[in-house]
Amino acid sequence: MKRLLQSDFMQDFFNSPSAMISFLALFSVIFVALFAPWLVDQNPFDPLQLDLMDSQLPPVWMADGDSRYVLGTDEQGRGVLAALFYGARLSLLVGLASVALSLVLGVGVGLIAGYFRGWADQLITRLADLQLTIPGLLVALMLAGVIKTQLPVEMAETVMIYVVILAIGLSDWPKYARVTRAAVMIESQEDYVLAARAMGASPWLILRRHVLPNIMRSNIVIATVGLGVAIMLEATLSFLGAGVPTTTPSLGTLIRSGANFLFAGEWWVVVFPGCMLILTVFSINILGDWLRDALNPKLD
Amino acid sequence: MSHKFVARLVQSVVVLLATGLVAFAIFSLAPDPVDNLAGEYATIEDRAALRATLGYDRPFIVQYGEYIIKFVQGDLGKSLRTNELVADLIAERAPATLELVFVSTVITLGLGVWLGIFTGVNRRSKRTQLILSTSLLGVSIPTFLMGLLGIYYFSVQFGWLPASGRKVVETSLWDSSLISLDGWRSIIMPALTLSLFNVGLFIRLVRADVLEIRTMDYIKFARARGFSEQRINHHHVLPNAVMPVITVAALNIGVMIAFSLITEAVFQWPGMGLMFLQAIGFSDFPIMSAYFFLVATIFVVLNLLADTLLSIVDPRLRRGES
Amino acid sequence: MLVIKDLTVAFDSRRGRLTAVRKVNLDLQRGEILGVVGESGAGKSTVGAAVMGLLESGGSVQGGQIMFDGDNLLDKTPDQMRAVRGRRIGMIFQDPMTALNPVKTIASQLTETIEHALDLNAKAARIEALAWLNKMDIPNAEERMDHYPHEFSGGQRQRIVIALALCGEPDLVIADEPTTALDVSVQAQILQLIKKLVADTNIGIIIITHNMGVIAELTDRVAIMRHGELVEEGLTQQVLLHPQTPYAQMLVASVPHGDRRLTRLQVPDENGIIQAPITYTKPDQVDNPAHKALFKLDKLNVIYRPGGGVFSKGTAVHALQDASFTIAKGQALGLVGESGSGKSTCARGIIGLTPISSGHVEFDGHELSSMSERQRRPVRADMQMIFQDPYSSLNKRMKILDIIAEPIRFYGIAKDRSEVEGRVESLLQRVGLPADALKRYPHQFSGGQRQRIAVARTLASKPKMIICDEPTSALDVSVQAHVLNLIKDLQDEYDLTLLFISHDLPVVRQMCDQIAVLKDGKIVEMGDAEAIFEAPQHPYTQHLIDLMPHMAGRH
Repeated sequence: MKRLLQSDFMQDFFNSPSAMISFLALFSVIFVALFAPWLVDQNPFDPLQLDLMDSQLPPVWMADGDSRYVLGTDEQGRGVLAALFYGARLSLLVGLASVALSLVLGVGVGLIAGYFRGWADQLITRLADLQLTIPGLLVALMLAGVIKTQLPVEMAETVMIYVVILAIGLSDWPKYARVTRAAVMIESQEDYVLAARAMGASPWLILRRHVLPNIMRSNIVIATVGLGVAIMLEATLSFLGAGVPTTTPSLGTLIRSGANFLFAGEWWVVVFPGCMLILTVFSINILGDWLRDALNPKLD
Repeated sequence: MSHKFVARLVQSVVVLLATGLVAFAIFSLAPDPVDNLAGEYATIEDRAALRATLGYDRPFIVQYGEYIIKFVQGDLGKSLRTNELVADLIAERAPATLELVFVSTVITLGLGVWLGIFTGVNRRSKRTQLILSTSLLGVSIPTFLMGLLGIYYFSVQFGWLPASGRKVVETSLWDSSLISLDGWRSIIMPALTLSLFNVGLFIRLVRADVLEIRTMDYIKFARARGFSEQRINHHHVLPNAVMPVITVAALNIGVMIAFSLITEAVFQWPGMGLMFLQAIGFSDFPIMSAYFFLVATIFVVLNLLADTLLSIVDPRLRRGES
Repeated sequence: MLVIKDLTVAFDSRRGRLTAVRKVNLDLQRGEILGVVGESGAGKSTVGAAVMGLLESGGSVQGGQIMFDGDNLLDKTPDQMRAVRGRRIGMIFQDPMTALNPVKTIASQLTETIEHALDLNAKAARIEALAWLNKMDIPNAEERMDHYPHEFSGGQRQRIVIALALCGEPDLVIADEPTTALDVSVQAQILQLIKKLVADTNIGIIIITHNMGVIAELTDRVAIMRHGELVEEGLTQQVLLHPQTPYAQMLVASVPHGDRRLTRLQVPDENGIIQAPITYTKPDQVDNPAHKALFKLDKLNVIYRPGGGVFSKGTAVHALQDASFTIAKGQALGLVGESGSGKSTCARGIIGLTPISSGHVEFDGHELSSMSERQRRPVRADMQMIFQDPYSSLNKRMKILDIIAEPIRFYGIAKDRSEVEGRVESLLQRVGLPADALKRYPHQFSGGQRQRIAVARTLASKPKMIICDEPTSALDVSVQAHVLNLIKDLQDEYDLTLLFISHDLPVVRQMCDQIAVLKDGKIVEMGDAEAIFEAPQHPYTQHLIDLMPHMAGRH
């Protein structure tokens, strides 16, 4: 830990105002997402706490505003502020889970392809290339959309979130596999790997102890950007109706319901979740950029 | 070169067949129409006989083969909901999507390449920082949100541009929205929305390319021979930067076709993407599967084109290593 | 023509300011070849870059003058400097594989330079370009000038680089490591070419290099740099024969003699004492036929088949053909050859990193080639390998302790934590490193130190035989001398058997009792090292020996 704090890495961080600000922004988002139940009174996921009489109220600083709902309400009576916090929770959860899935799958497969080569490599690269020709959005949409049609309605509500995680996770693994494979191919030519092979170490030992730690750098950068993409993808899927159901809304679902009232001039249900979304993804992207430069060995 | 091309062609066909398999799998999720055709009083034997006549009891692989053959011939099945020929539907709606993608591509490539090179060459200028920050913001805004905000401000608040729909002028080939001013007014916001994300991506990619090339030895050698920075940028950096851009541009068109889905949804733009989304809502599997397969085919063709173009333009690939 | 006075150059980075060149004085006449030699970090490349006005970002001249034909180059504006570059001062780059623009034809790169420097029109420029290519002995120049760089060999590309540097007709040329990236025979050709050009055109050349052999062969005068400062300067013959300063003396002494073998290279040991050179004499017992052969190679073949896709057209490469030799216990056999000769392939085949197509490998009574991996594992402990690149042979994410302890733990030589640590400490001390090194990471050590760590790792499993694959080719000359001496010390102490692979003949002569010469995968000559060096039988061996640089005062 001490080594980390004193390292060049942290020096770079403290020297970079944009990195620190975005980290703070991201941290706040995570904070409100985690502690949502303690920060707001209303749980917008619980239908019993909603009062239809309170629906479609504007933010508190406008006429007709209600001090109980600082940012206004949507058409079901959910407080926008509360929905923001709970929705962020969902968006983050789905984002993190799908990235974790892609990472594990992609890195695992990439390790095998890059180290062992041969038919496994051929197969895996073909599969990855196949999937890479089709943009992730389409893959995720197909998966989520098709599975949704096959699910009985009652199940759909509870299961969709896992379907979305699965869909997004499966749509992105080729990226990690490709990067990992390339990195593994380079590292396996390095002399320290040859030395370990000459010693007689088994491939699994080599992969675990020597190769994996050295390739994680490139993956971390991609994963950061991938998190931003995953969050946006979830929002898009939800907006298109193939994502998280409206009873447990994510930021995307909120925007979807709010879009209908945009023409009536009721902008708050779209703009506030939208800003939250942009803030989250923007900070992730800034951090990702900074991380890429900080971890880049060429610039050492 | 030709044998490599053949290899790529074969590979593409394999990819297509694989995607076709997925498309067919989706297609076959549709409940077979036997129950409807047979009527209420048909017995189980009657249904089985009907099934056999219609060919629904044949092995999967045979039905798959038939699906592929029919696709190639242009028979894409019928919509479950409206019973129209899917092929007709697609032909009707394709121009909308294609024109949208076309305008977006022009914007993306034009802005993206120009700004990408600018930020790559002028590393430290203030304008570069601004462009980069804006592009980073641009890739952080989901397309649908951008569309919604655009509608809110430009349509609802200011009323300059239509919020949805497409204005067309009929021509002998297809109904185009690129001919009239009204048409342009209806297409410009969707096109800009669609390109926002991609411009940002493009700028960063091109910039990364340019930066990498500028660290190369041959650039330093060119400087050592007394060439001006301007000359170096035009004659040495640019030609080398073009190669990777070609591949990315081709892939980008594919990405935009996919993302046009979203734009069409937000702006109610009557293209193939909107048709696909509606099909999902109605579990209209023939449309879903046809769209998927068609779009995948376009992507594969684009990939192949990009590779071929690259091997023509890059001298290293043309004559092979010595 | 060129007078550099008190030049000081510094680089600013986030770690602070580094003075790369400190008050350096150099001068050069027309028609003269000056060598600037030094080890890594000496600042020699920086001097060249400063003269060209092309310092890397973060670099700035802090003081001094660079007088070129009466003008101070440092006073010139960037535009004025641009006019000087190419037209009056030229630069030859090191790596011919990356110095040429891959998407422009040779003709266009040449004509572009000629048009710019000499103000000729396109047609005249093309004629000039052709003339230059012919001068550089590029065959079929007229036809091939419209080809692209990747269609030429490395040696040809370097000639094209030289042509590009010279076609603007400069008076002064700076060549930064012009032959380092090339094979030995090609190197010799390029050096000859440079000599001829200087004689024909009376230009002045500064050759920047770390290679003492190049200095000896090519330069009229030499300047030795160390840590940014000029240490010694004078006529090449003088400096090499009678170096005045201790550093220069050490540098010259570090270069293995091509003409004889010494017991050890005379570099200062820990006490700073240099021993008088003792020419090595063979101990009698070596000729004793009763002395056991520890290692035997019998008709080893390695054939590479490029990976197959259905459409690949690659042909098989017979990298090693019927290689056979024997090494007696405690002896050192040197495997020499140029790149592509198969020497590395042989080593990797023996140790099991590359699959063997046919043949037998016998080691310590075991028939390795027919053993399974499981049977082989305990035997591996007795045969270890040192690799060439010290920056690649240590896992950057592991502590030194773990790197050296890995074989100890793997072979079960010690299990207890303190015992393992104790062994690592004594190994570190044996190779001349402090015991506390085990807590640190590879990036905290220099190339020479990393190679010592690699040696320590090799010794950890108490091997009987060590294969050294170009162990010092990537090291500075003085560091190389220390490591070579260390290997010799260890060989004596542990009665090790060595298989020593190198392309550097003087090094091989210094280290080995027997040698085998490889050409295109076949052993063309083999036998006692001294005998072969004194009287080579095969013409290729003769050719390689002729290519050895003649240092002053030797041969």
